[in-house]
Amino acid sequence: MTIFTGAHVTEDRTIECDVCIVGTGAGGAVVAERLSAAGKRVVMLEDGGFHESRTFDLTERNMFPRLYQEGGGRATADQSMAILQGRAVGGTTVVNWTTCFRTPERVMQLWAERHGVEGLEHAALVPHWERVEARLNVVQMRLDQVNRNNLVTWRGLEALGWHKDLLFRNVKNCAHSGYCGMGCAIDAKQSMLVTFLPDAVRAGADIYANAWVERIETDGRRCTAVVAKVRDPRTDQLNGRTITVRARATVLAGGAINTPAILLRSGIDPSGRTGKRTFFHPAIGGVGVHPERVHPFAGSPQYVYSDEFVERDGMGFLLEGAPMFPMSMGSLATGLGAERQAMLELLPYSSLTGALLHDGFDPDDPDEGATVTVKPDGRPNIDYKWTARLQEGLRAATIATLRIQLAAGAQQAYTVHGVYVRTEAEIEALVDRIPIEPGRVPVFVAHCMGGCAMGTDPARSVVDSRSLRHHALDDVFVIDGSVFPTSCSVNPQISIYGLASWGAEHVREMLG
Amino acid sequence: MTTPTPQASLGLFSRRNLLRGGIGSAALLALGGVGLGLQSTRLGAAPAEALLVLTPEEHAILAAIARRVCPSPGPDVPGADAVGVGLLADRLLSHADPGTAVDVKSVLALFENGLVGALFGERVRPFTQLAPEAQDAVLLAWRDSSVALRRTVFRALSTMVTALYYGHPSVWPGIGYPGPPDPVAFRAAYAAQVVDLASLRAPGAEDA
Repeated sequence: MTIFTGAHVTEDRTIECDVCIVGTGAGGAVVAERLSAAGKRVVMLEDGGFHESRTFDLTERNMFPRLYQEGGGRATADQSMAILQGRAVGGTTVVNWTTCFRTPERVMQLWAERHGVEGLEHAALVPHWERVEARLNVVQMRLDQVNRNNLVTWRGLEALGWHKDLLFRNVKNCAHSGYCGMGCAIDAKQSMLVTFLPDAVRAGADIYANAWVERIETDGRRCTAVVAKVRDPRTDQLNGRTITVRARATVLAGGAINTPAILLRSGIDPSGRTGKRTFFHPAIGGVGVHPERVHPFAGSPQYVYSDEFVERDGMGFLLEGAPMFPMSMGSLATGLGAERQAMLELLPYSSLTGALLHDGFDPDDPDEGATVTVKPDGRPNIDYKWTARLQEGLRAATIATLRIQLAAGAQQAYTVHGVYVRTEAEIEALVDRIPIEPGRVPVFVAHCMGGCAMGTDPARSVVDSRSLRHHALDDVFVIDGSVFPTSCSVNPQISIYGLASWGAEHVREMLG
Repeated sequence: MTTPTPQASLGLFSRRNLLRGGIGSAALLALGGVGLGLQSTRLGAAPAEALLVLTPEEHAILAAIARRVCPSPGPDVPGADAVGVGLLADRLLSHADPGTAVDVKSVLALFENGLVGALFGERVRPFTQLAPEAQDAVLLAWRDSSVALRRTVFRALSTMVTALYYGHPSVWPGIGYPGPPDPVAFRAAYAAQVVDLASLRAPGAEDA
């Protein structure tokens, strides 16, 4: 069928269909493809715009406002964590760095043991992952493809004797330009925008871009309407038009933060758990300054990783190579004037190792992570709870990333909050000098998970893990990363694709 | 000119955040909207184009902050004024949710307010009226404050001006960043693999 934008919607519309899917990212796109292929009439609503790759100019300043939530400015309420989350037809898959991991089996076991997740086992997802990975051309990188920036991390891990391996990525004929985060201009990235969404549209689905779902309306245990306000794609402002979708089934797939916000705006929170336990993999990194040019913006963002510290005491973390670009690095740095400029002038010689902290695994903290609420005007408000466990993890991760850079031959290593070291011996003492507190240590977030936890106990969870159906609504499913009871401890896109492919079967079963 | 008054709080200054922020935050917020009529914001150079969201005073505050956070690093590289960070912020906000603009206006008014500075024994004059060195001291005091809300304000303002500054192509030569590949040539070299989405788009309306 067709992709519409807000420019096409010049009067209020009411649409009837089998399935209304809210969100076109990793969750929604896969569900749409499955159900369209099964002959169901699918209508998708997407808050972001419809941006084809021919419009991607690869600059941060133009692409972040177009392709990211809140123009790239989404953050926790205290501004301590910058949240990079996609907002476009294709969702975060349009701007992610293409790193692919399946959900670790140990994580899903913990979901079962500690969070009451039943009916969704690791083995059940394997055939779904295999199908999705084949469609998305998920392949492991070779060492001869690795760019200079990631090679630094690789060499550092090797020198320290730590675990290291090459990553899998969903790319086809990748030019290794490095601009994944600004949208792939050559459609090498196998995002939802160029795979499952066109598949779904060709099979009959309609997509409405620039359609911000304000709320769902319910009558008892049934959803009677999904109500979206339409944006003018030229200004991104609401244009006064409304799309009302009446569907036999509704799938909320706006992602963590946005899906709980829709439920909260709709007054649907019987357990009081909606928006709670939202997780981010808070990320921190160490930068090394090397004698030769590294050009950390050139070559694909990520090729290598290490799970050396995944199962440590305290908060575990995953280590990965990571890119550096002027706008994002400039805005994370905390110095003024010459101090900040001096740090940025090191850019060509700099290399970054990042660490993703595994939030959500503290057995003694039922309200770990962030809580999403809604402001009076409907925007989500995100409060992240900094704990001693997080602070200790951030400190340990900072030390580990600085060690990797020095071990790889960096002449000096630094953090974006201005700690410079030249030797291993200096690291711990210098890192300890700066309090790891909100607003003092810039933290970067690219993985949004949780907030509508799945489980079997309606008092402790939002969504039934046996079907991904909302506990309080018979015809509303939540199929995105918001259902994770913890962070998934790896880059989440494959986890969400597999979950969505599995969840689509339950939606189809309900539709008959 | 009169310093702008903070608007109704929607985001950073929610009651929840205020309560959690402790006494320092409460006093800071209480002063945020008091006595502003007695002070004035120093207007700098007018922006190159008409403002859409910010008032001239708000633009001047933002430009003054950007001038200290991102001054010109050398003769061949522009500073925040030449880049036009204040105007870029105005344009960014014109596409943002209206609530975001309200938040930014509130933060600017609070930061500018001399009484807020006086609360912390730092200054009584508005930020825009201070000498450059004193402005740096104020910025660092907010950055390193023991009051979490002040650090929040610093990060909000610092993130905005530095993102706009370092995102601008004119400053890239100063940091050795060559910029992205030319998108047209890049795309042409890989034309065979580009996915046709245009044929799936409904006819009859252009976005831009």
